[in-house]
Amino acid sequence: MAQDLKEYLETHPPQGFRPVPHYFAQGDFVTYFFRNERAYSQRVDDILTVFLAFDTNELVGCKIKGVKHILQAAGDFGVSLDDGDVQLGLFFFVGASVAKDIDQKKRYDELRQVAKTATLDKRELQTAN
Amino acid sequence: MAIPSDQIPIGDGLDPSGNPGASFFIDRTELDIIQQDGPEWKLEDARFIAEAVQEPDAIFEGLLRPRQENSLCYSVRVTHDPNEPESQALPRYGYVFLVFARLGVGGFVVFDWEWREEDADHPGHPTGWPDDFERRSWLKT
Repeated sequence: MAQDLKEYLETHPPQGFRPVPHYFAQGDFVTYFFRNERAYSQRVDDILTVFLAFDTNELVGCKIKGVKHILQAAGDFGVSLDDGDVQLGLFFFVGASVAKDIDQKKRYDELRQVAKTATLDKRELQTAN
Repeated sequence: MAIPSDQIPIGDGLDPSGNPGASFFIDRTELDIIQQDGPEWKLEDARFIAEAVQEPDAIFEGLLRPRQENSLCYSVRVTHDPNEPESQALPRYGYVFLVFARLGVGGFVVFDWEWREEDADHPGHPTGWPDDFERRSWLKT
């Protein structure tokens, strides 16, 4: 067991890259990186942050925020997620529907094209607080 | 105070008002996921978290989304790379390193970190900061 973060980083080198979405309960968000390029973040709105490659400014991933809140709201409208995994397209649909300007809509459209079929393992959501 | 076993200490840093001595931790499960699936650079960039919480340029409160109203964002223009202690150059010129944290058991728990373009008019601040956070709770002077 690592004694601190410094020791953890020294003793746990990265194992590689797998382009799959993951849910992080502490911050109630999902990240999905589909390209393994060093990137910076650009906040789109309350729901979405995108990651753009430092070298090219190309879209390499995204962070979907407020996941439990969105799923709860979906449930209130009768959208059931009882069976199977959660497609990220659901979150892009919700975000795009409340997007206020053309730049926001453009980002959601980009993600719709590259990531709508990516699925989040529903078991990860069960770790939520 | 007993700290949850799934949290790893980062060290001391500043509280939201800028007072030193606050304890910071990071979620072990989150680190393990990133270590396993990447991106690799995300795990590597975790080495900058300590500087962000110990020597931030600004601290913001409120992430303007449900369940994160009291969460914090530490922003720093990173000045040194722990992997390159001899280097005098900024590790990432034109960008700030953001660390997101929330109050947990025994201290603050870091739950995310990322680079963002720096506000040219406010050194050490991320672009869009007046709109992205509820308020700035502390500013380095």
